[in-house]
Amino acid sequence: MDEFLREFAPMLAEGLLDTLYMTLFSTFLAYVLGLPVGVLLVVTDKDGLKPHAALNRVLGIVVNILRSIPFLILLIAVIPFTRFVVGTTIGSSATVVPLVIAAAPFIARLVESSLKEIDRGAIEAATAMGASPWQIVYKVLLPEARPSLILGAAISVTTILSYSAMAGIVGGGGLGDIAIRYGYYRYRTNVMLVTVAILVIVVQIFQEVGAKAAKWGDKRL
Amino acid sequence: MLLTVEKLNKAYDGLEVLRNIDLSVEKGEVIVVIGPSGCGKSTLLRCINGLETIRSGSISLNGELLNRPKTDWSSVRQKIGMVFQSYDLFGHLTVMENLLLAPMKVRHEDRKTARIRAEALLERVGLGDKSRAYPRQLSGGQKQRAAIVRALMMEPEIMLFDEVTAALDPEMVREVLDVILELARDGMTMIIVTHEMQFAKAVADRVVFIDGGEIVEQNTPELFFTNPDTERAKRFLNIFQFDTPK
Ligand SMILES: Nc1ncnc2c1ncn2[C@@H]1O[C@H](COP(=O)(O)OP(=O)(O)OP(=O)(O)O)[C@@H](O)[C@H]1O
Ligand SMILES: [Mg+2]
Repeated sequence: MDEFLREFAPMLAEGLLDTLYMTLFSTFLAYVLGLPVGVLLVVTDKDGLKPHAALNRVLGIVVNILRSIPFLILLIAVIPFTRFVVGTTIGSSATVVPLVIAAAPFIARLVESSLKEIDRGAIEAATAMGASPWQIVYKVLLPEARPSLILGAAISVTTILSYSAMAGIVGGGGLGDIAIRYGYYRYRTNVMLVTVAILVIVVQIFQEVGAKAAKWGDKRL
Repeated sequence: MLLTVEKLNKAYDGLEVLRNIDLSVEKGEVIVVIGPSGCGKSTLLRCINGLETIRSGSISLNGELLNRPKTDWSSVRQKIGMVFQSYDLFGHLTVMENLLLAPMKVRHEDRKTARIRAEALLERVGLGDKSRAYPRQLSGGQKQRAAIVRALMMEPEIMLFDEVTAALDPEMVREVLDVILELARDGMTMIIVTHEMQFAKAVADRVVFIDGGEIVEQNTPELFFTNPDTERAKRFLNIFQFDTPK
């Protein structure tokens, strides 16, 4: 055990940091893209604040196409683009690119469904007081949906985390990379087990924190 | 005339819901709209503040035509307060924040003056101690009174009430209706949709009876409830006599 730790602890710690960096940074960038798209999907819907059939359809189709590409294929397909943006195709920074492309449409849909839960009555009441669509999005829709958005963020983070592990297959860095290189290629099953255990714990923590934050922010119930 | 509706027609996907509605409301007048379920009462109110687009006809506020492309609905809606059946307070905000949101964001009023007005209004409707409560901590009647105050915060020229007591437990109906009665006494112009006949009698200057999307009768409350002009109104009132024992 001691020996195992001495050999692998520094590497595992670094892998964990890499994984956290990839996951959190990708989640952040994916929200920068996905949140506005989710809002637009709701606002331009035919029952939305500013119906716009064409824009709604285009966004919907783009989101659906991106979501239907399996992540492993996307990972490989975007390699030229990754090289263009990051300058390299291996390591955790390179993995951020496919992660963001995969996660942003997923997040757009999560945001859309969170916002659609909001009672039409509250939106109509704001409209009836003369609030503009933008004011309603900013002051009613997003704040009212906050607990659900936070839960969605917890789901996104954990999904992105597991995708980041998958990126290990193409040398993406982080814990997934370690699990593949040592656990799989070199038959070090215990390394594999420890990485998996760490991933499980990290997912658990994200989930718990998300649920707590959502509940803490919920003034409605 | 404060509000004039002329030859208004409204359809939902081909289904005619309102036909040839003519209705004028003077400043300070209290109109009660009654009629069977599905006759178009809510739709009429929603057309008046532009929540629904109309098929033909005209709606004017202070002589200014509303149903034209250039209408600035934001400023029109500030003059038309509306309260719905289902309270619709913003659940993530306290009562006070609910009241301040639109005055501050839509009218750009400063917090201090809006707050002073809000406190006075809350006091008036008996919610002086609830300004820091969240909607979930209020009873149905309290929520509805808060929703009325929220609409009043915009200092509307006319208030539209759509069955504001229909979702309330019976013991809470009175406290909400009393608020509306007091507004009437203060001279607020109102269009009130209600199924509370005793209240209608007490508050109305004029009763408008709608059936099948048409205004069938407009009358004083005295005449309407004792001796209506039309057969259809008579039949409608007969149904109600079962549950209003004398
Ligand atoms: N969004 C909508 N789409 C299609 N039809 C609608 C819509 N809203 C209302 N209707 C129809 O329009 C008619 C009038 O509805 P409205 O809600 O105005 O009636 P109401 O008089 O307010 O009834 P109630 O007393 O039950 O509230 C009904 O036949 C209803 O089914
Ligand atoms: Mg109705």
